[in-house]
Amino acid sequence: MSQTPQSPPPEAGDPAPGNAQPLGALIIPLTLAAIGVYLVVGTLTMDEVGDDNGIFGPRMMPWLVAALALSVAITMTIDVLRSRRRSAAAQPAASGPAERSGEQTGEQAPNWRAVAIAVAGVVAFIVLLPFAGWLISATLLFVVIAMSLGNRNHATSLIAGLALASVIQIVFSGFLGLNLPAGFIGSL
Amino acid sequence: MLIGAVLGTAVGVLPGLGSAMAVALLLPVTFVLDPTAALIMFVGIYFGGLFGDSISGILMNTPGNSTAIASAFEGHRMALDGRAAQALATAAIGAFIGGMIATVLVVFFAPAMAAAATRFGPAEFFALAVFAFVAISSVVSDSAIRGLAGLAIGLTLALIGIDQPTGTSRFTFGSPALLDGISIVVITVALLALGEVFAQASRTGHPDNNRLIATGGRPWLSGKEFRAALPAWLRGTAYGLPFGVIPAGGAEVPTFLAYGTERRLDRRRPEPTFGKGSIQGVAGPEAAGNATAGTAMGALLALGLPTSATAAVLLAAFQQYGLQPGPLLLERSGEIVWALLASFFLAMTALLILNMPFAPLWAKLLKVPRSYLYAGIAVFACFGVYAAGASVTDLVIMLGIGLLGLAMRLYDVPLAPVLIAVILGPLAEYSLRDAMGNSGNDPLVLVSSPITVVLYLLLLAGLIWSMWRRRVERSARTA
Repeated sequence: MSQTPQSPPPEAGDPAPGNAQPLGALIIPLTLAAIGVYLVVGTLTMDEVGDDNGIFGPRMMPWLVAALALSVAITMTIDVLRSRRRSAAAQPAASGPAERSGEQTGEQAPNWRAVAIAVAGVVAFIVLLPFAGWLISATLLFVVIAMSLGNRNHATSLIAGLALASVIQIVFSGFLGLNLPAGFIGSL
Repeated sequence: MLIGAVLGTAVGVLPGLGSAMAVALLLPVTFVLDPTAALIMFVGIYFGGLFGDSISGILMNTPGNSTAIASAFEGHRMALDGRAAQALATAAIGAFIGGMIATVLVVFFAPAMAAAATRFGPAEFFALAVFAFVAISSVVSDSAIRGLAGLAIGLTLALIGIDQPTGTSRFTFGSPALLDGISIVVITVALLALGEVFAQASRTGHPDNNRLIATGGRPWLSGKEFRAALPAWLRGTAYGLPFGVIPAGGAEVPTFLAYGTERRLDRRRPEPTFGKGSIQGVAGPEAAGNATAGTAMGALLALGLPTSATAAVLLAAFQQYGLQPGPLLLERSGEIVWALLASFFLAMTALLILNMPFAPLWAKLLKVPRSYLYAGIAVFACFGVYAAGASVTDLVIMLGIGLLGLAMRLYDVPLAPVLIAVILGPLAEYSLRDAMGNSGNDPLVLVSSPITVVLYLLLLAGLIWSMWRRRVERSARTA
């Protein structure tokens, strides 16, 4: 919500709806379609408690949401494909669909490598947390995310991450009594 | 509360972090505080965050939130013109005036609103929820279909767990961890915080052309400047007040309306100042933004109706404490409500005092390297989600929803409808089923009272207005 202005600036007429949307935008309708199918299957196989709940039983809302998800998925797919065809026809060789009027940062292909590193960092955190404990896994998470954002100064980010993780551990676990897994350090 | 205000400004200043995210990140942390203190802190964060958003907008031209976009246009030009400090002061006073007037109105009208709302039955609540859904997804969002996409995702997330009236477990994959549903804390932190971290990662290596402008000069306004800005502050406030009560996604619409009005008025003056850094261009939108925030809190407290993403997160905070905002809150926990309203005044006064002289200091926060900033947010998000439930399942869900948040950011699907749907989804479902159950499945019961009829008519009017607005914008673009 921060980077994508929802109402376009009145004087800048840029992000016009006529521009081609990247093919990756199809991931949203795909997700919605998956949600819709999942809701339909889940509703059909639902193990309803109590009988005679009428039409307005626990299955009513899932049907409605499934219908919404599926119809939005279809409309959005058409919308994305049509915007691509239209702009491919409108701007021939000169600029091509890749050159779209950007927002403030300039629209470029997302850096998937960096995203993959960041996601791997979170996965590693989740896997490591029960074994290695908060201190180690949180420090690691900090370093990996900083790396994915282009930070090459690993020593400094290691220290900063360790400091942050320790402060959180001391304040919340020590003073406020929240329980954080200590991992093998706790058994030393 | 002071801590909240300081923290809120700090988080708001940082680019890309809005007040909704500040509250979301701190949500789990407050499990250990008592409700009144925590909620008062959130109020500080809310208003502090709003102001912080404008600081980064004015100094770097990167508004921290969509609500600060309008004031960033002229504010940034003022900063380029060497009047950064005056722009910040204009914003601070504007925020103060807008917020104050809104809060005074809330104090007077909240009990009346709540009293009116006690007559709400299931049919009325259903109408209210439908109104919020449609308004947030189609009236406010740029594209109705994208808004509805967000709505569908949110409603699905809300469906997971045990069906309250019958005890049927729904969509749990047979996992006992999901029986209670997905915690709102997990959803908000994942969508707002982790999604933003991933989105920032996806932009790694792209040129960053936003430059920080040094602030200098006097942070005070001259008498002439004050007189120029005063009417704009008041006009902005007038725009902001009604929008806080309408579930229209927050302050984007009123801030842009205020901006547009000031620009039109400016053209008629002998010496137009717009485009060169107009003080009115900052004053109007800023006052509108905070007036909206003020009345939005009123709507939240009295009706239990979140009208923006931040209000939705605040509602989640209330629910964490077992408080259900709405008509009954004033009766059951009146002392909390009044303490909260009193803290509005304090928060805004504190912010004014803090921010007039120290705005340049806040700007120094913008120099924190981006990589450390988001690494810290990721750590804090994981901590918060884990601390909330001490369950690894929650962390996995967080990762999944975080990725969804990334996809939504990359392809312009608004996040606010998801949050509103998650929070109001159960209300909509159960009140519809109640209404049907009580009336023997007679669909006419949904439009049987004046309140429901008025709500549906308003909704219809809003839809027509937004269609008209879109058509006007489109023809303006092609012309």
